[in-house]
Amino acid sequence: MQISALGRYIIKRLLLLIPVLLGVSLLSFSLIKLAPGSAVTYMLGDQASEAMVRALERQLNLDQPFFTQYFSWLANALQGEFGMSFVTQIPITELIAQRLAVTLELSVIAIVITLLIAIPLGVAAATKQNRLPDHTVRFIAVAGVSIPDFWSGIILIFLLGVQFQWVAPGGYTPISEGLLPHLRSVILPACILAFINLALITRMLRASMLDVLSQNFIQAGRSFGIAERELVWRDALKNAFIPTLTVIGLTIGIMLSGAVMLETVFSLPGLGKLLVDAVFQRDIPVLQAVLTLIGCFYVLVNLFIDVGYSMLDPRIRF
Amino acid sequence: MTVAPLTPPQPLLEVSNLCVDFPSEGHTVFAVDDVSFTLAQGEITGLVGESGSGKSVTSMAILRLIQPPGKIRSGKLRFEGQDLLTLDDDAMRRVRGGGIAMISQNPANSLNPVMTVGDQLTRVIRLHLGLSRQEAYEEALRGLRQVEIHSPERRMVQYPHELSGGMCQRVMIAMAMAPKPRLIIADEPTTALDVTVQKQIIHLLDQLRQRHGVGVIFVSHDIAVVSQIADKVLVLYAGRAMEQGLVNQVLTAPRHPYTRALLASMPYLGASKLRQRVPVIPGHVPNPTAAIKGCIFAPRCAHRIDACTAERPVMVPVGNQGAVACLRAEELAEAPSRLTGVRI
Repeated sequence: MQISALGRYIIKRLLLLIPVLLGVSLLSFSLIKLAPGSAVTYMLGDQASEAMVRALERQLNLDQPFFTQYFSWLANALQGEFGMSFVTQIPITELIAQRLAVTLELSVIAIVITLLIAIPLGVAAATKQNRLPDHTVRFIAVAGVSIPDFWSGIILIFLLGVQFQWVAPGGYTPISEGLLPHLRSVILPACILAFINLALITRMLRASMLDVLSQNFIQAGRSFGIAERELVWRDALKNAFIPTLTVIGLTIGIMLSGAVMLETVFSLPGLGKLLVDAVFQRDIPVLQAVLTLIGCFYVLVNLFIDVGYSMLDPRIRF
Repeated sequence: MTVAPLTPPQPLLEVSNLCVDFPSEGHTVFAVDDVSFTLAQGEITGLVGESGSGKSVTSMAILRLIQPPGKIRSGKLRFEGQDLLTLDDDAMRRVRGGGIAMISQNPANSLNPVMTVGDQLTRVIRLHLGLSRQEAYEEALRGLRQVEIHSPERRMVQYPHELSGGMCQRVMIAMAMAPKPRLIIADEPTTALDVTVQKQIIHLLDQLRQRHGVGVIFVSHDIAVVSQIADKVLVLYAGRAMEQGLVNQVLTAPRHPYTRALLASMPYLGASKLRQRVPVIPGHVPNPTAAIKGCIFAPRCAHRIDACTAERPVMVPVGNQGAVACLRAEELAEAPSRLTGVRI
């Protein structure tokens, strides 16, 4: 019965995805129209004659009214057809398929690194309040918030990539050319990406651990002779992870924007790089497709988080 | 033929001269100051006092669970002859839950909200009795039946938020009893519950005492509840022992002015006038610090003389098993008291 309630909830959330995505696509569509410069001038160069511009605009359907353009785009998009890139003339679905894996890999590695560091550090900071681990967390938090990711990216490329040559200073080596060279090309941006959210998640976990550890059932557990380690790592952590999960969901969004920056700095062929290139080249169909995809991704991640919630916390039922 | 021991049988718990300090800005609060009492097997002692009297701190100290910066400054805690204060951490952990179990004030948040009742019960059972998963499950069911929980199989897979407060308290009692402890500390076990459930829980504790011979320390601010269940009572005020003795003696013939005032301030049904005012003790409970000389109750005491603020009264034995810490106890006992005892 609970499963079917959960199933109903998921279906409801998926249906809610429709208006969200309509909003996302409409917003990105109109923002692009409002931005100065057009794909046509980019493609033809600024010496092109008025007649050539008109001709190309007609060919690309850019001479149609705004909503006509939008709805014809939408109708195609619903069939999974995002059209061709203005610039490269490669089908966008194909472009995205190539790039998505890189960004997903980067994000997944970054999340794993974040959690591997944030959980022990957050727990240590809460159990050894105002001692070394706690101060470390505070330092990382301040550093993580104040150092811009492109700056730490460049410094780390210089140090680890150029000076010590531990990792690739940039560029992407696909996994087909060996696991180690591949990891060397993604590990540094993944670490920087992890670092951005590390502070936030660690601080959140520390705060909720402190809250849970002061609750009655922890003291009651001690009075039943349950070992401190079990109380901290099993009882308290599971409770404290519930609010932290929300923050993790939110940081996925930050992570995507971080990926845009870092893929540019490290010249990785990911979605972020595709997006930035598309912006510079006024490659409108690519922009629209990527923005919609990111919106979709963000909403789906938050749906997963909410479902994860109900698994961790029996008090939450839909 | 065995020779009968000359000494009386060893008490289950012996608390002697227990002192617990909590340092706070600039001064130290003596939360428990020189408290002594003993508890025999199968006996129920009530710890009575207002908030801040040190009753909860005393019970936490017995389990050595005083949270830093608070600490047990001095005193002795002997449980079944074993000195608890010199035990190492592992041995002390086996005593917690295994030898001495605690039932705390708020049953609803004494259980982990994200673990099933069954998981929490079997964890404690396995920890102390070393049973297999299956055996522990059976034992947990038996425990739940013993505290009169219906359809225990269903309760095992439920989470604490799916149970009522009274039901949670029964689960806590089952969890406390399952590892077969010899002493139960019940810290205000009925305060958060309504009166009918209160009665059931008290009845249950009494039954368990009779059936298994466990000793119980029953901590409560409610003298009426204590009078229903306890054999002996210890009255605490601002961390110090005021009076102790058999419950009937203390409640019908209180020796200490504080005990009398406390009993007199109890409302009761059937008062002669409907709007009769309940007498109150003037003033408020002081923060017990080093600065206080003499009797700590003296500033609020109606029978205070100069000597009371100069010298700290010691516990003097009175009557059968009783003791009182008041300079004027004897003198006041002879004078007919204005204050009447409690009607039980």
